[in-house]
Amino acid sequence: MSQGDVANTGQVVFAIEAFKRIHPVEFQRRFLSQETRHNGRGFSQFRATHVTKGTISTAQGSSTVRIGNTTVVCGIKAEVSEPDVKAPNEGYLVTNVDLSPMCSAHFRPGAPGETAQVSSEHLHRLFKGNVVDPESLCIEAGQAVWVLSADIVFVKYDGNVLDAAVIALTAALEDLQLPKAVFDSETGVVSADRTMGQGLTLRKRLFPATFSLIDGVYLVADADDAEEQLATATVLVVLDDNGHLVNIWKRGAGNISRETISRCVDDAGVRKATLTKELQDNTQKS
Amino acid sequence: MSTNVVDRRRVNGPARSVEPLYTSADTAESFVNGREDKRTLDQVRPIFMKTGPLSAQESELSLSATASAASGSAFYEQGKIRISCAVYGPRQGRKSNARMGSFDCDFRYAPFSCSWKRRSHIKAADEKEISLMLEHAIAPAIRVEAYPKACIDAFVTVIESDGRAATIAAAINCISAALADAGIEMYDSVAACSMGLRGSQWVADCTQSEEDVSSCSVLIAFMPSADEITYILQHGKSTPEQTDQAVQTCTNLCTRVYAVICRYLQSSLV
Amino acid sequence: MTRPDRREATQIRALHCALGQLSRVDGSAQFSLGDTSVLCGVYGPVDVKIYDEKLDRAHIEVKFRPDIGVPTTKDKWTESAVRQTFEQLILGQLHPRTLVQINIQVRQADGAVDAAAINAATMALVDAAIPLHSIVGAATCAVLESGAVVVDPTQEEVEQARSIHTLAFENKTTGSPAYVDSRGDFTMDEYNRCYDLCATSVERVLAFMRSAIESKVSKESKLSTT
Repeated sequence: MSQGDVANTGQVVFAIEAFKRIHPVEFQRRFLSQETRHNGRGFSQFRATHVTKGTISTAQGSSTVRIGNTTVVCGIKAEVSEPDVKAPNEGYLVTNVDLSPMCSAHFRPGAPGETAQVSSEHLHRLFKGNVVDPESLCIEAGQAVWVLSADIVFVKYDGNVLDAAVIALTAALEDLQLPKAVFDSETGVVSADRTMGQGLTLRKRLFPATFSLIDGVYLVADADDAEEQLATATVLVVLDDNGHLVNIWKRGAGNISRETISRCVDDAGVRKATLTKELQDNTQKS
Repeated sequence: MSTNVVDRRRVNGPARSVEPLYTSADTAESFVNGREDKRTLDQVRPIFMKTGPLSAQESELSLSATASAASGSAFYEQGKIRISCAVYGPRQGRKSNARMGSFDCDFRYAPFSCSWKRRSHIKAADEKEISLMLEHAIAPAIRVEAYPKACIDAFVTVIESDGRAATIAAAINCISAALADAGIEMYDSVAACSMGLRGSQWVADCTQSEEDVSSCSVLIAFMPSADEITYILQHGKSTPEQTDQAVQTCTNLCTRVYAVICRYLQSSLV
Repeated sequence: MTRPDRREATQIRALHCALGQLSRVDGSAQFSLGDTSVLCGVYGPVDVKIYDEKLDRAHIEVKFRPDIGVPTTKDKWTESAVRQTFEQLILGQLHPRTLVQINIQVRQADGAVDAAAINAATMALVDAAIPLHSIVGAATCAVLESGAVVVDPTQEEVEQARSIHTLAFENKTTGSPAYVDSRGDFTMDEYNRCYDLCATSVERVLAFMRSAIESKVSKESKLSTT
């Protein structure tokens, strides 16, 4: 049955796909009122997450992260630049999120849209100084520093940009091998040896968890694209290795009480444990 | 030295940055049997592909293809090359009175996809050129007269590249698969293959380090069932006889690649 | 503990609000927290671009401009935060297929800019007589390196802080925050302390807003009777 049929009772009966398209809110509500979700998950259940490090050989550090159907690749290229005069021994970490029509029909070609811009900026705020010590990127004070350009490209989009991006960037930074660099003060040239790679010591690792409020009542973890379209409010909780909070970000109006937020923080702690396991030693064997 | 263009819609780094001078020795000398990876001279790297919505089957790289809500999509691997493509259409075209449909292609390298300097976010001249090449190579295969007033858009992103010509060939194969996945009417699928000339020897499907030492490269896009070539690209010098030979070998290889694509598409239907 | 400007830890800076300063917009407000000053102008409901048109409600657009230089991703971030806060607050269903545009210009930045921007936007929306569910006020707290919590930090204090918390509340007594942005390195305990401090500060801000609106309305009614 692909079109609406009038049954004997006078009620209109739809095929499930048609129902989902015509009345997405009601469709979701039917599931949520039964304490389940259209994708079969429980309210506080996250999608299966897979992290693979070192997937891109052309980048100095890379990772591929899959959260359900959301697939993202993060590649870090290391280049050399002069430091800022105000901070002569601090390097740069430049984070950009790329959401192109290649990953979903929601996004338009050309310059980054609002979601991409806001995610890029949020990543920048989370990681700068907090995760990477800018001074560890110094080659020669006042002369040369590393610039880490981290680009997070979404290959397939099915909701939850920030979680995927934070996990991918964390994994790529862990994978990063910086060549041993020497600054020649006479020529002003930085030479580097590819064979002598050196990992970066991170101050902490970040573990994100996103929760969305659907229909003003139901709080679900790790919303997929269909659920995200109906969400009125979202809460992002980011924890670090020590279980300290790094970020609580609640956007959009909706009744998310103080208690609910602290419950989100508890759930984020559970999620952290899963992610820690996933982040451990998933380097691709080549 | 290049200047990074400041884009207010992105997080920007310092105004100028360069790659350090790498001192480590080149690996180009360690070719075995004339090849870097023990292939024979006319062997194409192993191909992996995946179209349509995600299923349980996964790529060894745990990269799974395909955009949601696109009409068709494909993920394509050839050795280290990795390309993802989404096709939208047929959808409303920009020209409302066109009697033929149009095919547009948007080709991009991911900033980290090349072994040389990081690519800028701003579309470079070579990306525009390759977009046009892909359009020209694929368009002859599409039944544009079946889609009046409509357009078909392909968005291609290179996640990792290994050999410029080989990457373009891979992009053509990837788009072909995505078009088939989208159910676009075509005369035939286009398969593509590239070769590089080293000394007087043609080497099929060159990697980046092999391409660096070759003096000429040829790329052929071919429709095997129709027995028609849709695109030829040559860079560098070769004699007419050598080019003849390359075209001949390339079309043969394209037929082999075509078989792989067809076999995959058939199996994806089951 | 003394703060650079000799305030108490729980004391917010002097509030100042002027409504209707701009003549060419439908509603405007200037809101200051000490040296932080933000100007907001609201147009609405006005014509909407076809692309943005919503059939069942008004389209809300926020433009945020910094005090120095051109807008960057930083400002886009604030723009999106402010928009998401007001999207549910404005009764957009009353004006379908229209646009409500909120333009925010920072005049001077000395910490707590996001909070000042939310407060200014509320006041400008009230001045433009855009129907709202409730009015919303925001406040910022900072946890310093010493562990001390101070409310409404200046830029100097922001730079030394271990974590920064900006919370917004509605004037209804639901007790749920409309917006939360806590960033840095903090514990749940610190978050809760900041939450309480922000909540009481917002109460003060909301009371101030109410008196500012009342004095404007009474002035206007006096004018219309004479």
